[in-house]
Amino acid sequence: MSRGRCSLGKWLGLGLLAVVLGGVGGLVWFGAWYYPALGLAGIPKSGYRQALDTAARGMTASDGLVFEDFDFSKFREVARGGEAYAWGAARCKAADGSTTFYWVYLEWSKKRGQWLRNYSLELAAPDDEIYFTRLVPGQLGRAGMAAGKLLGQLGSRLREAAAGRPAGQDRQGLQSPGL
Amino acid sequence: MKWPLSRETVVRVLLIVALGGTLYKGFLKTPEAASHLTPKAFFDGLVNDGENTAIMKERHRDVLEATDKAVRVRLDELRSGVYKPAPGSLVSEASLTRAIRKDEATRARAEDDVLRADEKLERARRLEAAGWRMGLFGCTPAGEGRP
Repeated sequence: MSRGRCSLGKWLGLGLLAVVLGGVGGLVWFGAWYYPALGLAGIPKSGYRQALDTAARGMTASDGLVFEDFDFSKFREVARGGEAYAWGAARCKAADGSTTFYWVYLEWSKKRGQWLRNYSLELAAPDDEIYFTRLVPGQLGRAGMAAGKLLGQLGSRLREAAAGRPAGQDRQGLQSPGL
Repeated sequence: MKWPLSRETVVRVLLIVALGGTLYKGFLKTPEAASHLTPKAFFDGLVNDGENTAIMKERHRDVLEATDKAVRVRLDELRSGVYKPAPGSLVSEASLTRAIRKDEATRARAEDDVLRADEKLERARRLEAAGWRMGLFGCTPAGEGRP
């Protein structure tokens, strides 16, 4: 009797552990492998404009923003070593008609031979730390906003991944002019 | 020594070999060894590091400039009534004005970082052009090779 309970508890514990490990593994796989590469495969290093455009459209659309154009964009590569970087600020319209800038940053992956999304986010978003003062918001408020920001970004990326597949194929070769 | 070797002796020998290998590889990474034995790889690494740092610092300055613009545009649109912060939002005319000042202070430092990174890259290139090698017995007074 007691042996049965014990093994049941063991199996439940193992199951829980597997679920937790699977969840963490899934998050790492999505955030570090799948999402950064989404829709950017096959674009050469010199095709950074197309890569920036694809990434910017996907990121901003999943945040409910309408991408207009890049305010500026840059491409930098090292003369020795093969690293390359592309970044820029995308000008977008929010639903209420206000202007929003979105920072898009891509890195060339030597290992995978393609552009990958990197640190990208809405600039001066309402939950940006730039509005904080020493006392407002308080510690709990800060923690809450940070957690909300992380979860919001995760949600937005998951939406982009869910929407990105078919939409990304339609967008091939549909670059915004004047980049 | 008795044959066959005891397990402890084998483990001991393997450990000593591994330690020796680690020491040797570490020695090859020091500027004293690398600049003399593998100067091309040494300077490639130095210049590559300088280039990547310079690009990173430029990007950090750019993101602050873009943030400055985003905040200014938001302030304009708040004043003209296009942008309406949600109730309880941290965004207000006061916080936006403060954000511009904050960004200015951070940018001053970022501009310095760009200069410093450019100097670092230039220095790596200059050292390579001068055929610099790390001194084995103390540093040269200037600490740099002179062309």
